[in-house]
Amino acid sequence: MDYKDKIQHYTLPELKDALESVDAATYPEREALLKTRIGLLEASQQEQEREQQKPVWHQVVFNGRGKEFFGIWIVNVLLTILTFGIYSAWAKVRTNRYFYSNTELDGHTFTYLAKPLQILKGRIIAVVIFVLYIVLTQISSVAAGIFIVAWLFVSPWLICQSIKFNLRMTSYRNIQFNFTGRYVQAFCVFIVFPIATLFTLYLTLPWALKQIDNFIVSNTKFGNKQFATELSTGNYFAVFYVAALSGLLAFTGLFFAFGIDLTAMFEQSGSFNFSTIALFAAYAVSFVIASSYYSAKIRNHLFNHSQLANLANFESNLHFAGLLWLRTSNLLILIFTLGLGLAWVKVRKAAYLAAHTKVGILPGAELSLRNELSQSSATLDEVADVFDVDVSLV
Amino acid sequence: MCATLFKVDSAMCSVVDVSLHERYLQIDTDEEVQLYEHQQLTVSPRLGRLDREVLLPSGDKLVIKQQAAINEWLDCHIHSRVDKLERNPIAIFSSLLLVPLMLFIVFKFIVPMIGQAVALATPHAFAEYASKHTLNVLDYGVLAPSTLPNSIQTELGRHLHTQLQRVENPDVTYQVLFRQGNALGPNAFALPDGTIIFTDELIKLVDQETRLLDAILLHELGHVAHQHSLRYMAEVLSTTLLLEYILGDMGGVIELFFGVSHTVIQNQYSQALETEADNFALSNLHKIGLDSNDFADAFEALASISKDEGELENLLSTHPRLKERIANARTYSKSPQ
Repeated sequence: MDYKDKIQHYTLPELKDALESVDAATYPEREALLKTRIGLLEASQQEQEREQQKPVWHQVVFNGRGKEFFGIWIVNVLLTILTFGIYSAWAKVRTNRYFYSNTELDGHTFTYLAKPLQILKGRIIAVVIFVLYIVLTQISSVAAGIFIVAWLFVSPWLICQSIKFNLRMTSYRNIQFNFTGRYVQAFCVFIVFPIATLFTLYLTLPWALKQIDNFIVSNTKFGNKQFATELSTGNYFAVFYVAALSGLLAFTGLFFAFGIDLTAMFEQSGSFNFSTIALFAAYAVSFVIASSYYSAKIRNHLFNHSQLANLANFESNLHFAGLLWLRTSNLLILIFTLGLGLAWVKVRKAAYLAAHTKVGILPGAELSLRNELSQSSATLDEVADVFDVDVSLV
Repeated sequence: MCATLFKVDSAMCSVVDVSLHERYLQIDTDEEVQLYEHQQLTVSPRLGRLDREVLLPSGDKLVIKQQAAINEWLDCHIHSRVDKLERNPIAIFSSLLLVPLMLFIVFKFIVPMIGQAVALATPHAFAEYASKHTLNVLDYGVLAPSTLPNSIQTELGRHLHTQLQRVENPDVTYQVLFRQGNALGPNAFALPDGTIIFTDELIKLVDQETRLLDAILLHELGHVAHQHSLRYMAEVLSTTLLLEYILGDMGGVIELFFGVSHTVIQNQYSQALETEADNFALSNLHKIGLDSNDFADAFEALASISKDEGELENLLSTHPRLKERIANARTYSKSPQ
């Protein structure tokens, strides 16, 4: 048999052994043949490895239906009214479960784990704080001032707790999300940076917004895997200014199109007139335009530049026009159904966002997750449980 | 039947076979057979067409497609079954009718009742603090010291005080103040502790005609006597909370829509309180030797400087339409007392 044909059947380690044992002086052509063959096999092996690293892309699917959710929603609203809002904690859990569990990725759905009493507890605390604030602002500027300053220091902690609670209450394939954001960093991104942008006349606000997004995403965990994100400040600036400018242009255009008369408005202080309503309509339209542009572009950027190392990549492909139409039509549905269309509005939104989201799962993700998780500490989880409260009004 | 079993703390899952017995749920995995009694399992309540999720004592999770047999087995010990209502067309249809009706009853009757209860329960000291605070804020932000000559201020003040004593509520000490209204224009307002403020602009508008000022004074007195400030605050607060809880989490556009609805509801409370204050004035006018036509004249003076208001504006205004208030006063004089 020809030597060339013979080595065709060798595996890579066998070829390497052969190369070491071959008498290069006597058989230089054999050495050459072996080297070419080894090079060829190594290249194809690398190719295979690269192939294995390629994520398999899955479309996120939303299975909820407007009609079905309407039944759930309206019955829960009635129960909420009949119990003066107390049932709303149960209603929230059912609503969230409906949306989470109807969101499907790679054949599995998400799960919302919170219990109604946890929600109720958080809401009672929030209502007490809210009423306290209202009462204080009524009787003393000093007390209200102290409250606001105290709130500046407490709110970053509460925001972290809230994000943590909501992520921990979300699971996929029986694995919970988590949040590791720390107070000092939260204080910077939620309080210090936004206040600092005041001194730049809000011109650097996009930078502050990017810091917030970055803080939230890069402190999010799925199981023991941390999300990583590389956001571009330049992109935030570009998107923010285009959004602000288009909102401003729309507002100016509508302002003149409606013939809004500001002097008439001020002459009649205290009561509303046509100009006030037109002004509100102009504000609403330009708000929807600007916020749709910002949300679409920033969500895409955020998803496309975030990943779970060795686990998953994300893709969002929202279009400005599509989101603008979704929001406009949703607003019209609410107006013409006097608010009763809220169930459809929520389902349409969830379905639209799912349809524009893909997740690329890397091969071996299941294994890498299991390995990571076997090292997770149970005690840490129990400590977190004591503070498992989302102090928020809704 | 077929189900998916998720291992605790792992993304791994496997397809298992589940069979139901009277007292046990049996899971056949590749390696073993597991048996569970009902009370060992944590079953998440049925919702829509969602797969049933069952948490095993080990932390493993079993996910089963909905079907009659499994639903029956899992739900046989659960007594509160809101999902039955959620699927029942009659329940849905009645909710559709009952929700607007109940909302109407709650916002029309129950929230004002809450307002009254809160006002009654609030200590008087709160009203005093709040009034001082409000006046400070107004003086700092909007109002300026009165530019009326001192003689007029004293004279009007004395006159209004005499009138006050004729209808006065012995629990409250009233005080009349004059301020330049600036942005507030011709206006009068009452603070919960019994302080009543007239703006210079109003005094000039009614040309110091005491008959008209008295009528307005009585209206403001109505606000104080019926604790309107506190009631309004409690009404707005409970409306805010109730709406938040009924509507749940909302994003931008939805917020925009319901924000307007909120304003409309709030204004209804404000308008109702204004009407109540008008009626307080109308029923007490005879005590100070006036009749309801004087009251109507006062509001006509105010109407002379403002435009006609349409239906839509009415929804977005904190006060009832002036022409309605005038008409209310004029008919009051005709109706038997």
